[in-house]
Amino acid sequence: MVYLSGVNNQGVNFSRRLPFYGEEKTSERVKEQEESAKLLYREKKEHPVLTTLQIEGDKLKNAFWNYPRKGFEGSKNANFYEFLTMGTVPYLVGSASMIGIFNGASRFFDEEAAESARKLGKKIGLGVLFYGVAKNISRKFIEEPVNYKYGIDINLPYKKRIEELPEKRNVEVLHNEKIENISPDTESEKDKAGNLIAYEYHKAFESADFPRWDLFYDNKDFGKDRNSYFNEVGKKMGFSDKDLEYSDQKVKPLIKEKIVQTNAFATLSSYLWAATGVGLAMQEHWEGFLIDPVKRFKDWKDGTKNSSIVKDFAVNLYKSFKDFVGTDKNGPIDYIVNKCKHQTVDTVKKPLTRHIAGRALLGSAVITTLAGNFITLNDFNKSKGAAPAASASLIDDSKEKVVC
Amino acid sequence: MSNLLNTIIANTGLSNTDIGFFKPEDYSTADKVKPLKDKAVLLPSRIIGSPVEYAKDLTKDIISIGKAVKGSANDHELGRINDLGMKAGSLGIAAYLFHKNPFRLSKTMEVVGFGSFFASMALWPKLAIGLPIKARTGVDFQQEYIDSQGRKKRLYQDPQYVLTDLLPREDLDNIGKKMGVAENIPDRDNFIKQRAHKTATQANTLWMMTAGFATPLSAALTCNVAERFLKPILENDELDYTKELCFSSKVKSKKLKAEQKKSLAKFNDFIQHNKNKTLNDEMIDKLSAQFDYILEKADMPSAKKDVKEALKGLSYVKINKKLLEKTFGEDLVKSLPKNDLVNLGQFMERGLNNPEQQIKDIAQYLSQCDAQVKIDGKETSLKDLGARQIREKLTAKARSRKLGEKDVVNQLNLLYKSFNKFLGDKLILDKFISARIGKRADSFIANQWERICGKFVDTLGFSTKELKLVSTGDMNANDNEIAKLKKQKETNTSLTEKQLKEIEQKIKRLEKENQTIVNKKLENLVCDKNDSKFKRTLLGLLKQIDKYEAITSERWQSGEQALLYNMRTFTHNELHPGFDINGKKLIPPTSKSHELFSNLYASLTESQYFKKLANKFMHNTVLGSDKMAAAGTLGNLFVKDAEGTVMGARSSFYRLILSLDVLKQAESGILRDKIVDKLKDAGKKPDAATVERLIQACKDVALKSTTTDHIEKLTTQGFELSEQEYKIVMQSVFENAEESANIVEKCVDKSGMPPKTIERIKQNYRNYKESFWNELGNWVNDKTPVLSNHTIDGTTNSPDWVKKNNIVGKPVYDTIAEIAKGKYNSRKWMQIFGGAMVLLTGITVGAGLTFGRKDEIEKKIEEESQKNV
Repeated sequence: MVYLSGVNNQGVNFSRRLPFYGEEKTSERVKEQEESAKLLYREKKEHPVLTTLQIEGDKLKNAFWNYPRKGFEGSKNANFYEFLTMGTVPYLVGSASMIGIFNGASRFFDEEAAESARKLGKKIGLGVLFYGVAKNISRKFIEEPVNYKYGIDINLPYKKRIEELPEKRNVEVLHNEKIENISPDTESEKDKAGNLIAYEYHKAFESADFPRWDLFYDNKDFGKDRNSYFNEVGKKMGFSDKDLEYSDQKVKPLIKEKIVQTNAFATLSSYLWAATGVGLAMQEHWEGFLIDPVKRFKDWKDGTKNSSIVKDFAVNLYKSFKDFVGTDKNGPIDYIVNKCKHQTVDTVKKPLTRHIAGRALLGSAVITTLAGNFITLNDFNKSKGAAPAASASLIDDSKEKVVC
Repeated sequence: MSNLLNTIIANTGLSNTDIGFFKPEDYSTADKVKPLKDKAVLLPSRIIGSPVEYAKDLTKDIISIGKAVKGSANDHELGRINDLGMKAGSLGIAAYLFHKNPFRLSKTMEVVGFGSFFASMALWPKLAIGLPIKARTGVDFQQEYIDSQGRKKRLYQDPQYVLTDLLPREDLDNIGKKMGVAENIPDRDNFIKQRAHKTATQANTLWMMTAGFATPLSAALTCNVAERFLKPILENDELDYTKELCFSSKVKSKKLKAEQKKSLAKFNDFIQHNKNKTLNDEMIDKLSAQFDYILEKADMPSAKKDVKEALKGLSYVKINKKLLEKTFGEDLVKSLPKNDLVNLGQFMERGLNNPEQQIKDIAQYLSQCDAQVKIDGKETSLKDLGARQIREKLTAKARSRKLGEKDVVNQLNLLYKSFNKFLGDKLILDKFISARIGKRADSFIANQWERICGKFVDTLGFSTKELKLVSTGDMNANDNEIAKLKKQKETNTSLTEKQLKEIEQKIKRLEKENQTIVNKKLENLVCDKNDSKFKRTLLGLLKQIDKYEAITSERWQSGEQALLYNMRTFTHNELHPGFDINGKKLIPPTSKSHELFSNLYASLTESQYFKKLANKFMHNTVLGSDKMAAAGTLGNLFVKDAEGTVMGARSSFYRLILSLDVLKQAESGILRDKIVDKLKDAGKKPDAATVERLIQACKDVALKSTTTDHIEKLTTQGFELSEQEYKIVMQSVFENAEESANIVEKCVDKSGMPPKTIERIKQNYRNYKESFWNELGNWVNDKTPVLSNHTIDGTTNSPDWVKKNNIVGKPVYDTIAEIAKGKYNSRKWMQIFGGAMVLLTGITVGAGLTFGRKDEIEKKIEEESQKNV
């Protein structure tokens, strides 16, 4: 994990290897290390929205343009990160196609058929939207409490510098022969030394097997000490100052656990929330919801309709929710109040099957989230005082340790 | 150092030869250190995995959730949890929509949609990308392997970590052969591996770029096709299921029973909870609210008032001497003259069902009696007290019943049970009716309509453009061409005089020939020279209609129609106010609906308190209110609706035959002869203009006429017909012609069908024409206002407009326009999205076939190596 350009089936480039711990560190090498992977902790803390937008914008641009271009050329620099980033494309295109299929054809139909197609199309469109929104927001229900309690930000990004291989290098090396530039290199960016470079945005904890611990050591953003980050997390986990002597050794396995738990539950619950979102979008109330801004403006101008789109949306959302879970006409709050007071609640209409289905869907999402919160925010009395396996007798504390 | 290097080599699964520019031989220890032997296994490439494999994978996924809870899952397992979550979420959506949709077809389509979405997601890369690429290059970019840790992965998933070493020799040779790699270049295997790797990277990219379009498109198309196959299966299934549900008590829904039990228990809970409370107005409100759910679900909200009144009746104690003594002291009864006591006794006996009125009557009587009573220790006379005060005092004492009294509880239970049962039975009956004649897209009758009329429209052979024109209001067929010629005439200045004349003539001819598209198509069909297409169409339609008749008479007339008839006769004969109220004496139940109403009524009438309720409830809801006894009764509405729908569809089908019949007669001259003869018989001169006018009228009767047109004697269609002429037209159309001139019968006779079928088909068509003639042919317009006449006994006031409407059926033009609309929409949809899918597949396959080609460098290498050889 500490070499620069990675491995491919043409060879391993060790020419720009990072220094191993224990080796002499030159200022140039430190700089190199920082350049190779930079944790965007401070950036995210200071400008959370901007940083996220910048990262996502960059990834999106690459996903739709740079990576496909490289991929179609069969570039040897194409990697799994690029493949995964391109995974956004089917998501977005698929959503658009879905909306297109249900809305696109309606203009060819006669008014009656078009109207019913439009109604369904509107619901499908909102369904796709709600799916995306619910899926992304609901992850925060589990991730944020973990971040708040332990200081483990599962989405903490870092910028990775990739040194790419020249496209024709393998051929040259393989046959010890200089072959003239027949086709130009596909890479667009070169650094001062003429190396081909590319940047990737990863998350420090994206891999539970190999979290980028190295980025947290000696990171001035967390404090002066080498182990500042681990000390901080350790304190939040309930370790006493004395216990924090080898904080990294002690805290790292626990962080790993939290990464796994948070990831698993955020993922599972997010799909259930997304399904709930779709269920909400499928309610009949949305059929009358006017989205077309031009028509809305006209209505506003004519004075036929004055309410804003936000208000309309909120009203429809509330009504849809009521229909989704099947509450009585007095509203869910009245129901609960009456139930608590042991008053008669028999005026409440009996829930229909679809209401029960709606409740089941919403319930499963809520339960998974709460279970996730319970599991991620509890340490189940893990022993915190035990000494780490590698004790002082084996490792000289006065020297730096190998961590990878 | 070399140790580390070898570890890396071992972990990456690369062989020594892969380490291009870095040669391990340079290190002295290299020959002593060997890479670890890998345990990875390549899985055979296949399109669809075995179910066992899926089950194994699912088990692993579930185990990985357990590991994730403990926090010990690895990246691979987390990835699998993601897939599992996606499936669970999608299944949740499908399950929710399955429950939300009320009908079988739409329910099933949700499951099909879910399945086809995931199937397309899995199959698209394998079929559209994998297969062509494998065929051309031998590389299967979706091939999987199991690594040393037992994790299943795609071989080419990570371009920086491809285990091409796992590929067996024959695969490598195959790839090399298909890619045309020269046999004798140095390091050939490595060269092949590079090319395979490159191809897979390209294929991966193509997959990501196309999946977004392909998955929703192919899922939508699959659903569209699947719906056509599923429709008839589900239709039969639903017909059988609802029939069993209705007629067999064994199949009675357990769920329904459980629900009824639960509902009754809840009602009893309510009574127990309030057992010490008096049955006052407030309590009656609460109590009647318990019935709201049932009444609303059974579509009988108007019965709420009746329930309330009945409950009010229940809230009074028995009005007798005791009550008088309790209210005004024991002395009162003693001091009253015997005559008065007898009269009061009569009042007490009389109004059992209306205690309120009873008390009013008694109070009125008492206020005129000369007697002293003691109230709150004060002596006063009844006359001084006055009727109002007496009533108030009596009422206060009379309405002292508690909810927990045994008698009250029993009565309430009885009432609730009856309504509960009624609701259950009605829900089943609703399902039964909805499956058959429901106004929904997948009911039996809707499907039949689409099948029979759809086939007819197909035969006429409309292009997509024509379908659109027909569906949006017919257009004259030559309009486009005429407009084109006119434009040519105006804009093109270089035309010679001769050419101009030709164009003008052409325009004139076209204008003369110009007629609506539907007419033209019908004309084409009828004027077919050797008649084969016409006969085929006619016979095809007749066979289809015969099938419909068979199914409706089998499914409908035998059991189901009887069921609905019973309901009507029952509601009239047995439930009319003033009949024998003992439910057990009623004629034994013969059908579900019969039972439905008789049970409700029988249980209601067991109690004298509910006599009034029963009468009133039946009167308002089942039979219609007192004031409008004839209108909107439940039983009659059911029957009328069913009859009307079945008959309306039937008439519309036969009208298609009638139109073909009349058009053919007109074309072959039979119609002209008929009209001429009839005019002569009527003593009129058959001049050409009149005959032409009447022929056109005949065509219009078959193709266009509505009931209103017949009322107005076709003047609405632009014909000035005398009554006699109208009759001639109707006779010519509906009279059964002699054997030789009867086109339909001649056609059926030669069809080669079994004689019984031939006879039946002929008879059915004759019957149709006869009934049309009977209802409308001889009919003199009496200008009776058009009202729907639902009468209790099912008899109809003449003229029965509903029946007439049903006999007329849908005008052929409307039928064609309606079907054309549906056909155009689905054809257009298919054109757009099917076209898009074909285009996408074409592009994808085309792109896939270009992958893995030699680039300039590779060509150069091959050339170089050839030279060296």
